[in-house]
Amino acid sequence: MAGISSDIIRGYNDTMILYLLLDRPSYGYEISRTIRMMTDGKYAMKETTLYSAFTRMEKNGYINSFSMNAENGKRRTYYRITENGKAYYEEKRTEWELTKDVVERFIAPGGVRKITEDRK
Amino acid sequence: METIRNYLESMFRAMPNTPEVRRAKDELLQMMEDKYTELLSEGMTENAAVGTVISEFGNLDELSETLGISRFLPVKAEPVSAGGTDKAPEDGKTFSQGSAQGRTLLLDEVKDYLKDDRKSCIFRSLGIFCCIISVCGPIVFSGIGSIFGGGLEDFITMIGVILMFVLGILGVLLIVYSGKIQKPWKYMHRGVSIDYSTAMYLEELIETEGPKLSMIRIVGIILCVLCWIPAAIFGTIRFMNDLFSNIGAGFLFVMAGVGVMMIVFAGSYHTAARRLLRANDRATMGGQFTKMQREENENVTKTGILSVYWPTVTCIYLCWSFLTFHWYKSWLIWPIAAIIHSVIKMNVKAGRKQ
Repeated sequence: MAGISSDIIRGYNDTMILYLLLDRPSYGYEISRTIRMMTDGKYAMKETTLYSAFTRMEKNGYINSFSMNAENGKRRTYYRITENGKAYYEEKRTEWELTKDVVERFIAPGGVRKITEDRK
Repeated sequence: METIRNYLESMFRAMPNTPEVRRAKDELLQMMEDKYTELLSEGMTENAAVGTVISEFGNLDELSETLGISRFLPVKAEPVSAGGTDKAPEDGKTFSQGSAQGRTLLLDEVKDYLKDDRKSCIFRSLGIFCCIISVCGPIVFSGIGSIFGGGLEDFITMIGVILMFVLGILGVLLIVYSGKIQKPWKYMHRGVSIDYSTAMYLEELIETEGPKLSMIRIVGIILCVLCWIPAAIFGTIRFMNDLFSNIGAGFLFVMAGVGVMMIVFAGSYHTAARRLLRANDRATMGGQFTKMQREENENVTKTGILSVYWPTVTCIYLCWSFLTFHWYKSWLIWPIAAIIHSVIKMNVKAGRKQ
């Protein structure tokens, strides 16, 4: 059974998180839940993956964190995107458009096509 | 939720205790807790929710780079080498894993150890009691003998002396036996570590039994302070003065003996539990699962001083009193000792805050 390619998607974890933060600040579980919902459960980000993305991006200055009381009164760490983060997101978006465009030229819709036929 | 917490704490157990690691642990716990609550509200059973949360947690190796702990990873991959690891962790309660800290103790094993240590504590206290009251034999019996006089007096005094030896030997045997009970557990002194649930168990134990032990210690101290009173009262009896003053002296030793026994008992009852709380390396996260562990780990010397404090004071009090018979002023040791005790305790607390 073909699963999701973790190699490919790993490079875009940050992008997905940043996309969700464009709207408004959010916290760990909300982000992971939204990712799962938006992908119809096809992709679930592990907690450790999420946290290492947060720390990495915070170190790079793409996001910053602040502590706030949640609805249930508990303290929670929220993350907010920075200007740097927005710029990085744009960069990754262009990169993906390009990647997708390139890769898709080699992916035939509906099955394998003979390269020789294509060249004629 | 407790299972999730246990799981996370054991995952982090061997990690160095740094602000980054602490933060990572808190954050991950927060996420897991959020997820767990949501799964429950969606109608999932507790067990299923715990299973889902743990299975979707991921791998801590992913964090090694961000936390700067890559040097810990090779250790984790090694099989546990310390002896006796063939016992498998039972029913998923313990998530023990190999670590640089030696073998993780199972909760049942810890309970057995504590049981034996308590037994040994009781026997030791009883042994000390026997040794102290053994001198009552000659004192009381020579008093009784004084009524009869003559050859019978010598005979009765003899019985007293024999009684002294019997009690003395019994006391020594009890103390030796108490040491023997502890012997198989010598390996508990180093090369072992405890997991989060054990730490919580020990802390609860010490906290719930603490007040009772303080009570026992206070009664013991009161007995030691007041032990000369019966002797003083009996000494004033004119009628058969020899008999009654000797009985009074006997009371003095019995009261002092009971008092010392209670002080020793209260002082050593939790030795094993406290030792186990110090088992984990304080530089790792496992060294501070609980508040009490942090307190035990910091200021090990001062905690050590406090544990032998009251027995030492009792010893000084009794030695001074019996050597000089200045009972009327030797009791002053106790209020002075209490003040010194609170000063030391304050120092310990101040040290912890820094």
